[in-house]
Amino acid sequence: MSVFLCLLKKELRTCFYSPIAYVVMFFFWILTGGNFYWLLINLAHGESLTTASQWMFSGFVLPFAIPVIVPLITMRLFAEERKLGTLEALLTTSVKVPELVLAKFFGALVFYIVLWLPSIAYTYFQIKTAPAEVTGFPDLGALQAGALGVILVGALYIAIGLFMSTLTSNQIVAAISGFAILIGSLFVSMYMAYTAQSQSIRIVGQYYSSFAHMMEFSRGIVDSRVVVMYLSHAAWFLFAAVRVVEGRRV
Amino acid sequence: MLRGSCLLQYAWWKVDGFRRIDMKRFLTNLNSIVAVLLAFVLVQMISFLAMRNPVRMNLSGRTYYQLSEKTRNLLRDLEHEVRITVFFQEEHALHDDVKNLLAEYEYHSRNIRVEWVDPARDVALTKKLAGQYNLTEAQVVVFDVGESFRVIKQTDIAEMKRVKGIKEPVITAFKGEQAFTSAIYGLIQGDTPKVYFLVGHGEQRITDFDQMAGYSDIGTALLQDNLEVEELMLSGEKGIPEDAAALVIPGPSKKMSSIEVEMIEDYLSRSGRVFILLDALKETGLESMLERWGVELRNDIVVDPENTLRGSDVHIRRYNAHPICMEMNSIVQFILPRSIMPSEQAGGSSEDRPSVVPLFFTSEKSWSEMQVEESTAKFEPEKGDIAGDDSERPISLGVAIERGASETMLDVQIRPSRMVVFGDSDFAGNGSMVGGNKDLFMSALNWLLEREELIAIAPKPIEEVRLSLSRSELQKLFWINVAAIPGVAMVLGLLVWARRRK
Repeated sequence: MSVFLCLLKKELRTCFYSPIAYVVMFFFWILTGGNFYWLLINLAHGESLTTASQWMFSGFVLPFAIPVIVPLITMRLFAEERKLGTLEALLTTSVKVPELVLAKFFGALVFYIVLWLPSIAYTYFQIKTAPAEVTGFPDLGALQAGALGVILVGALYIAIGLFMSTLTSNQIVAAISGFAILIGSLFVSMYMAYTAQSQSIRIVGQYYSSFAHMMEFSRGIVDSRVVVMYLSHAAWFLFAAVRVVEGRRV
Repeated sequence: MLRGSCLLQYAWWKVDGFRRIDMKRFLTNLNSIVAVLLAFVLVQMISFLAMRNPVRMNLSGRTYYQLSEKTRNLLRDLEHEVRITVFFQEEHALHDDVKNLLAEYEYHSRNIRVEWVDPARDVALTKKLAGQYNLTEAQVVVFDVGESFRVIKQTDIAEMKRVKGIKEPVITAFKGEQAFTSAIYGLIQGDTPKVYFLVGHGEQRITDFDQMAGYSDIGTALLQDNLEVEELMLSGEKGIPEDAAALVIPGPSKKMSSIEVEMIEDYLSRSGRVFILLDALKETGLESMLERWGVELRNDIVVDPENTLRGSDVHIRRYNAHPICMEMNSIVQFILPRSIMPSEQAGGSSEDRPSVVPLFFTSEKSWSEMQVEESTAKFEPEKGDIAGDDSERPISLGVAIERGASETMLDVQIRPSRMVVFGDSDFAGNGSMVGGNKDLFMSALNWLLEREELIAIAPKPIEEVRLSLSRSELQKLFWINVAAIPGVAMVLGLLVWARRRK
């Protein structure tokens, strides 16, 4: 366990020491801040409570921003180590591959959660400056469910990005293939869920559409089917990443 | 056989030609791929199990889309597949509400299948289904159980109000659950209850399409509500037909024979359901029967100077607590009504004494006018007029009567007799379908038919959140959210960069 903690610590240190992390942070915070400001403008004119709570974590921008942001976080994870040759060195030690993969995964997840922390500040400042006249906004329960949704979606996306990073020693390739898969799957599942003609295709689309899931989470609905989908698929991508890295060891 | 082993030997020889390490790598890779594929199958199996046993929680403190217990029970016992086709444009104000609500229906029953059709985009499909369901307008939800279907319009899903200056009507309340649950309930009920309308004594006719007096609109409303409607002439009959779910006596203007009244009372006593609409100054022959059932009739006209437009009409605003009036929130207009009040002493033993509940009252300024021949209506208590401000006995214009519904009955469940008496029949005529008139008529009929389930889910007021933000406050929040917080990231980034350079 201590090996895992050491690896995680090292991972976090590298992450927060890289300038790219702050570039990502800067732009993502502008995006979430702008999204919240847009919500405030709408609230000043009166907005339905469902739509308002959905905009905290979802809306029209954020579901499309996450698949762009996540590969930027994950592209480095294994590709960099392979390029520098440190991965081979690490694999000759007694470090177990699942430990290594999990440390990198959780390292990226922590950074991803840090990206979302300002949401708490937005809500705080909104309550301070202009408390809503109706009770129930911002709704603590809906915020919790929304946060859970954001973390689950992030976990699956990070697992996919991490897997793409194990396949190559080129960070750019890892990032671009990550974008392609995440954005592609987002749009395909959205298309399947909302516009497909056949009912069964729609059901499959709804099952995989993180856009639809985020809408539900952010209004306070937690559905076990969706939670299981995210966790099981993230675990599968991590397992695949472990097998790929173990393949390097031989 | 021989060829096979030769091939194998050749392959082995070929493989052996490679370097050992490549062989090992190939096998490891193959092993990995198989393992990953097997894991994928496992993931899908887990997903399938999760799909079959869903658990859904609502963490938000809002119950806006939460289904009532009535709906949940209905869905739990649902045995037929109900196919729901939603024709709504994504831009429509009700789109999200309908979608989120139907998601709850889908969760609570596997027999609910929801399909979305955007009438603006899926033109071909819309045309096909519009032909199948005889649709004449967009923005509807169709419930289909195979042999029959029902169409729910957007006006059934939400209460809307026209506001000056805004083109689109503003939604004031969402009653989607009420509309959807009623539709499903009506469809699975199967056999449609038959409602008879009495004719032969100058009653209002459901076959009368007169713009003012006819009852054809009510007839149509009943058909749309999954009811069967038929007129009934008592002269040739031995009694009220056995298949009658309810009998409506809509404003008779001629006196009935005592034999007819006997038939009606006989039907009523056998757990019958009777809806009587009486008009002022008309003798119908039902008086003595109504008296026995605890109704006091006065030969009067109720005048309510406070709640009237033309003088002849009375607007009803005060409702009593009764399932019939529970949901009445728009004004009902009666025309020259007579008072219908519970009599002060109803006879019989306590067990079979009918319980008579007044449904709605006129205002304190109203009175019951007995001297209808005099040209000027004045409140004259010495001539028998009663005032509406008597808190003990306010003037009511309608009563609901129930007999035999006592809980003390042993194991035998006996259907109670039910009767509703209103002091006006014109309010439900084709010319008076304003405000809540139709709703009140249908609500009373649904109570008689014991379809209260259809009427007891309250509409939900639209939940809107509005912040009072001044321009300067908005500006301040802009600087905090879009400049200051990202600025923190920039400063941190610069610090890290500077430190790395050292």
